Amino acid sequence: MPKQIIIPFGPQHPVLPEPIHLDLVLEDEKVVEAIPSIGYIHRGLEKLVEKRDYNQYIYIAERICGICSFIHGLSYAQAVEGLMDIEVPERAVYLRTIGSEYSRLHSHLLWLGCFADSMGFESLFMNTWRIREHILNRMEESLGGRVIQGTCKVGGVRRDIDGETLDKMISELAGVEKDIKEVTATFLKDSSIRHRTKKVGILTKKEAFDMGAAGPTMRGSGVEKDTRMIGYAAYGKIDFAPITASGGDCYARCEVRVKELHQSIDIIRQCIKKIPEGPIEVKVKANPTGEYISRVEQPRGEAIHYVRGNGTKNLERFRVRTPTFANIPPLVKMLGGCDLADVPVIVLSIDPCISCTER
Amino acid sequence: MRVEEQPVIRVEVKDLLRKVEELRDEGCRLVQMHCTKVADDNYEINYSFDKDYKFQTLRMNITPENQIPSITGIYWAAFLYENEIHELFGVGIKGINVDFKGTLYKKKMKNPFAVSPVKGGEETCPSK
Repeated sequence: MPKQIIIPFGPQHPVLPEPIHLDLVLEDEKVVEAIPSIGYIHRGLEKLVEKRDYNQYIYIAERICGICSFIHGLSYAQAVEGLMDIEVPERAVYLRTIGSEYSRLHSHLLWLGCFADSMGFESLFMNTWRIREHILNRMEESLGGRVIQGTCKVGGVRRDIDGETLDKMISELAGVEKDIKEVTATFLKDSSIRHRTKKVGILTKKEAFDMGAAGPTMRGSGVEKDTRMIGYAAYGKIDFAPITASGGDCYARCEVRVKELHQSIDIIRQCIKKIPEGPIEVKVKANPTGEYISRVEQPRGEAIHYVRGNGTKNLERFRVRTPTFANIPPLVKMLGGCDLADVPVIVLSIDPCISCTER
Repeated sequence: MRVEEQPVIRVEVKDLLRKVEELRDEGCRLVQMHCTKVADDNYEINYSFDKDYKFQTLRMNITPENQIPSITGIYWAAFLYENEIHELFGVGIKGINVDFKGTLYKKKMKNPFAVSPVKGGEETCPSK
């Protein structure tokens, strides 16, 4: 039997923007086991709900993550609206959907850049992030910020997007789509990328389902599951279907995200075509009572916001289950049996967001 | 406005594993687990499942002295949820497949969400 050695991977590592630690048990160059450790930046944001009223807390919910901030805000607002049975105006619902898809575009482009970087493909990383700048600029102009938008509120949204800006979005998306097609062709066709990603970090369909994987990690293994299909925000009125790939490897997870970029552009176009005129918020009175779970599809997968109110202005309990939290056990499975050199690519392939996970 | 119906099914501790196994056999996916401190110093443990976009939650109420069985024998990936509940609330969970024994999070307070949080005496803070 070969001698086993343990190599620590993280919490500080060039491919990790945030701290997660893995103890990699190796036999020669093969990883036979990976033991995860998290908790380096646990912030106790769930506990803070006891100190902030339910309207103030949306600012904290948005700060759970610097990438999915818009969708965290939406999910929290939706949870409190479910608790208080608030009907959000139709225009606000469409604006929230547009914001969510812009967030998905910027997150997937960010991930593609980091993924290229994990393989040492620097020019591809720069090109991908160049495209992302267009998305961030438009988010800043229409939603109020590049990182934290502060757009969603309980009862609707704070900012409307005028017709001129919506037209600008449509025309700019045509150019962005062309750029995305060019750059993603490299991700899917380049021989060196295929060599690094095909049949690497395999998660079978059964494993993905049994382990409760989320988002592109799950869909890359062929599980047709996208929380947008439950029809929250305006997704019930939009024509789209979950995107899947069958390989279950790093390439398949990349393929799902590439196709989702085009899907997001299509959803934004549909929303801009269908968005009605009207108010963007309703007045919210009284304090929440009862409990509700809001489910949304973030770029990394399904996120859960649980809220419980007791009739006071402070919620009694707020709980978040983020997609990366759900994707850590599948990651441990993917790493078993892989080459040490493939570990950075496999870790990146789940699009880990530790800030979300630690909340 | 509520997006979907979210039925809650109450179970007793003794029936938990049987019920979870039934749901696994029906093809349900474990979506999440969470714990909530409720009145009378009790805890409410929730297990949420999804099948074909139908969401349901199993719920049981326990006292702080109760131990509950781990469901990691049925849903392997539940170990992170169970370790988190154990560390933040101090709930005793028997038979977790990957047991971090209180070291999942680096905290200043032992069981910060517990009915009676204990300051100091933290076994997991590496600086101590």
